[in-house]
This record gives sequence, structure tokens and C-alpha cells, in this order.
Amino acid sequence: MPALTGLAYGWECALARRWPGTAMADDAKAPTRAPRAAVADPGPREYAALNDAMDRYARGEAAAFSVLYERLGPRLRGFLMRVSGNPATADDLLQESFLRIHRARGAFSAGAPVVPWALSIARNVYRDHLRRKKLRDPAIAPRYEDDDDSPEERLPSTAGHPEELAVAREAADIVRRALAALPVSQREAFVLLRFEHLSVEEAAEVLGTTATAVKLRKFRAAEAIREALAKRSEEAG
Amino acid sequence: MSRPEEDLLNDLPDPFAEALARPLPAPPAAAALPPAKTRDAVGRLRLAALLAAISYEGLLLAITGLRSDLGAAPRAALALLVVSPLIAGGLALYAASRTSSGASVPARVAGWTALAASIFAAGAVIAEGSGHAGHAASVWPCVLMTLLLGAGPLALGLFAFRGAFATGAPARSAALGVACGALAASTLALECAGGGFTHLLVGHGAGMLAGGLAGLALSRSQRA
Repeated sequence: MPALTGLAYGWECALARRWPGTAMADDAKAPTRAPRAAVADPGPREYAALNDAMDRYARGEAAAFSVLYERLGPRLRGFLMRVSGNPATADDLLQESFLRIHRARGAFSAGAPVVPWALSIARNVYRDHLRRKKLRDPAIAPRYEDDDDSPEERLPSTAGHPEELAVAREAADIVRRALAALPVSQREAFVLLRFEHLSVEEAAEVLGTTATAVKLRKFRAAEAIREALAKRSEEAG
Repeated sequence: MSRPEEDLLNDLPDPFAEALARPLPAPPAAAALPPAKTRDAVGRLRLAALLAAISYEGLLLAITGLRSDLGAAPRAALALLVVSPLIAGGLALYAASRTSSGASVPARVAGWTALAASIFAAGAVIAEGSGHAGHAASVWPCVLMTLLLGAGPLALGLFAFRGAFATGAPARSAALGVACGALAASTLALECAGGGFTHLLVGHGAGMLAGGLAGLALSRSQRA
């Protein structure tokens, strides 16, 4: 894909000039870096602790619920926020997701990975939310719910120079808009792979599709986001 | 996707970084949580559903009566007609209930279910001629009977697996229906003396197809 690579390189350079928080920028010269995902990829120990907590909860140990909520909550909330585009909606859906996890705990197989299972339930909750919205008003197509929240609440802040802060926020806002413009299936795949750090196989399990379909969805989503960023950098000169 | 593009995507800012840095909302209060079965309770429920399904088959068999040639039919062929649907049903049930990662759920379930259907069909081919071939019209009473025999296990199965499928609910529910249809086919082998391949495949196998379709149609209630 030389053409795409060249295009990407071009806009990346432009981006680096405009936004110090990108890969091409010199970190020493540009200390302001747009924050990465709030939930970093958890290590094997974290996964083991989660699996153990879910196993205890499935066996009826009520105290394990708080451990699960504490460890699993940020991941489910991150997924729900990025796919729905609205922090308040994400918090509501998070509560619903944990209610369903609670109801389905007895069906959770011993030794199965918890994170894809819980993300599948969160995805079901989000899909049901979209369906309910569509039933209430069929004219409304499924989309981001970003009109009733202040953008300042979502966008990253930095402690640096006000101009750098504005630039970082602009970059994040472009990413948010690009995510908003994506079809739900592509957005889900992109969020699971890029922000939730799932493997392609795990994402396929969550989305109930094949690994090839997940790769294709992520590729299309990435293309759309890259084009949005390139367009913006061209407009900015 | 090339390496620079991958790096570029990995460096994308998270638009929700600040919102995600805020503390989580309070978890649902323990008192507000509805009663939920533990793994052991779910296991007991599923076992009870299985036993109830077998009892249902036995009851219907007692009402309709055993096949007239039960004493004279070849033992091996008869055993095959009973056992091959049970193996097929076991595989379909395994496909429905298994939780694992690393593969597409619908593709995996479809693979196991296809294997189950193949075993049933192979059983029908091998056991062909074990009873009287009959004419085409004799298929329909068996179709009705297998639907009746499959309906009870399907209702029990859907109840026992209600809200259990986090992912791939349509495929898993369909596999559950196929398993119930297979149990019906196994029971029918003790009731019906028909032995032609078409009769066995269509008349006795219709429950598997109908169960799969019914499971698919009712899959929403099975989703976690």
C-alpha cells in the first residue's frame, strides 16, 4: 500500500507540525502529548485476578462483585463511552451491563476469559439501547450521542501551554468526530482493538463474527479516521 | 496496514481520556441486585431440565406405544438409530453451551452442528432397511410426531439456558434447538418402524431442522 503509506506520511508530517502530541513530533520539544487510552492494556496478572474474581462470583461469593466492578468497570465504561460517544449514557449502560453480568454469572464457564465475555454483554446492552432509541423515534439513525454534553468534559486536557492544549483538544475532537461518523460495527471493532487492546480473535468473539471481518472493519475505520485527520491538516495548511 | 500507519493509529489521542479519568459511578447496591443463580444452581437447573425432557419423551412414548417390530428389528441398526441422534444432540449441545475465545462463535457452532447433522445422516444411511420402507406419505405423521417430541425439550432447554449466551446467541440457540430435535429423533426410533433413508432423514430429522429454526427465532431471550 505505497500510496496510502505516502499519504499517511504526508499528513503525519503536517500533523506533527500542527500537533506536537503525535508520533512524528519531537517529544523533547513538545512535552504536551494528547493522553492515550485511560485504560492501559492490563497484564496477565490483572487478567488472572479478574478471572479469579469472576469465578468466585459465579460460585456465589457476593463480595467478589465489588472486585469485579472495580477492575472490570473502567474497561466496560471505556468501551461504552467510545462507542456511544456520551459519558452520561455510558455510565447508565455500565450499570445495566453489570446487572446483566450479575444475572448471567451462573452461565459463565469456569476458566473462560472474563474480559471478552463481559465486553460481549456490554455490547449487547449498547445494541439494545440503540434499538430502543430507534423504536422511540424510527427517523433517527444510530449515531453518537454527543449533543447533550459539553465537549470540554470529554476532550483531553494538558497542563501545558494554552495553545498546545487547544491543539491537543482539536486533535482529539477530530478523532471523536471521525469515530462518530463510522458505522457502529466498524466503530466497535476499532474501539476493541485500538483502545481495549483485545486481540483480533478476542474482538471476533465479542462481536460474534470472524477474525477476517474484524480486520476488515478495523482497516476501514482506520482509513476513515486517517482521512479525517489528513483533511483537517490540509485545511490547517 | 503498513507499519507507519499502525504507529499512527496507536498514537491517536483518546477523545474520552478526561471523562474516563473520573471515578466510576457507584456500583449497583447489593440490595438492588435481583436474585441470580450461581454456577452450581445453573448446573442443577440444566440437569433438571434434561431429566424433565427425558421424562417428557418417556411419557409421550408411553402414550403412543413402542414400535410393533421392536423384538424383531435388527439390534445393531436399532441401536444406531437411537444412539446416532443422541451423539448428534450431544455435539450440538456442546456447541451451544461452550464458552471460549479464539474463534468466531457462529462459525464454530455451525461447524459442530454440521458435524452433528452429518452423524445423524450417516446413522440413517447405515440403518436404512432396518424397518419397512413405507411410502412417501408415511413421512408426515413422523414429522408431526418429531415436532411434538421436540417441543417439550426445546421449551425446557430455552428456559434452562435463558440469558446464558453473551455472544453468538442466534447460533447457540439454534444449536440448542438442533439438540432438542435430535433427542426427539432418538425417541422416535423407538416408536416408528419406518426404515427407508428418506423416511429417516426427513420424517425423523425434521425435528432437528425445526428445532434449529425455532431456536434461532427465539434467540433474543437467550442473550445475556
